[in-house]
Amino acid sequence: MNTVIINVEDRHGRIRKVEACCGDNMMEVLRDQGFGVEGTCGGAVSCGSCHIYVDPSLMTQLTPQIDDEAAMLDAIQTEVTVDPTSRLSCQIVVSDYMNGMRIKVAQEI
Amino acid sequence: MKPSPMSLRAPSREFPKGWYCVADSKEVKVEKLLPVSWLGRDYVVFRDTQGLAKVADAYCPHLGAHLASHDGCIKEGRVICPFHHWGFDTSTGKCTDIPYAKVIPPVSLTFYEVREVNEQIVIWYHPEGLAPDREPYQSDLLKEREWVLFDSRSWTSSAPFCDILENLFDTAHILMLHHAHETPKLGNIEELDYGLKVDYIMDPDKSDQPMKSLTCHISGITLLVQHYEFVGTEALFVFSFTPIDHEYFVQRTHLYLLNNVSPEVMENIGKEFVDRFVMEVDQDMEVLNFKKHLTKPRLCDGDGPILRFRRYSNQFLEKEGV
Repeated sequence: MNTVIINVEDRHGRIRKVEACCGDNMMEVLRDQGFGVEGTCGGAVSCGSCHIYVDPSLMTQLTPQIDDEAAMLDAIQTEVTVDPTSRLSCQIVVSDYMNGMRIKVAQEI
Repeated sequence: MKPSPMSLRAPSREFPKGWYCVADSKEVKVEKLLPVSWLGRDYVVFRDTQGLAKVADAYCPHLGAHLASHDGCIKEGRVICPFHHWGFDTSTGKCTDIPYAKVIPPVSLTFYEVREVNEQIVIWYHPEGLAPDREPYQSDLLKEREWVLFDSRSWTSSAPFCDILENLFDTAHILMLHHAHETPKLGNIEELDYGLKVDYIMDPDKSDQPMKSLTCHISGITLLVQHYEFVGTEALFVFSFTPIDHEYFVQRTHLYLLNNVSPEVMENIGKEFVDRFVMEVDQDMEVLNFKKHLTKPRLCDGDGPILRFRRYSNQFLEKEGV
């Protein structure tokens, strides 16, 4: 299976290169690589713990937000900064075009 | 004798699409959760702050607690789950409160399409989850005139579900099983938006005939309202048929009498009517509870429009399962 390298900025501003397989769930990659992403709801779009900011240039290539993701991002605004590059990583599947992509793990709720 | 499993007596099918009674209106109060089990599922029935009937999946979407277990309740317009006290708005079903969380996720109770007709709370069921394609029959007479609920009965039956209303069209069994003196004559059978309207023909020459007219309104194959006109008064019989699972269904029947005669007269008419009705349903159940649904019955002349009803009822049934 194809692998890609993703540049992940952690909650302290440090950038680490992470190797991920295409088809992997981005939240699970971040969770398993020790970025402090809990993934409490396991991808059910109800905890907001896997919030990331993605490379603005890749926003349009990502799978569009489903209603629940948009509602969840709206809901967490009271606790953390949500901007147009905000996504829940449990809704993102690692793909070829993400090679070299930069993402930033958002602050904990 | 015990009824054989339904797999031996009827084609394996999903429940028919249609409106199913899940509770009587009077059973459901504001700020009270009523747990019920129908169609192989568990539900809670309640009213929102406006009094509108709501039917939701019984299990909390958070972690699966039965919402009516332990001290699950409705408080200040919210269903409160007993497990973690998540609160759900009774009107929208949306989660509005989690006492220990900072963020309220976009989680809702699963609501079912519900109508309140003829003093019954009914929900729409479609085997593929599709939206209602018709509305249930609502008796204007019941709403507009003054009736007395004279009697309510309930039977749990192991009859093949699609055969219960067919019984109305099996006119010959009235003579043979129920020992009536003559066969009721079915008149006009008309397919309308809610289902079937069936008129019976009364013999005007029979002076001792107390019944002047009888009209049946069948919604899908799950609800029935019968309107009787007698000399001097009228009656409405409201029926519902709801499967508990694939083996059993419940028939509920409410008899309303027009409040235009003295209590003594009403008691006499009602009692005679109910006694005869209960005897006939008991007789029916003694046979229907054990019967098989024959897809190719060998009908003879005088059997009544059974196949006419099947041509109608087929539209509510899934194709035979594999």
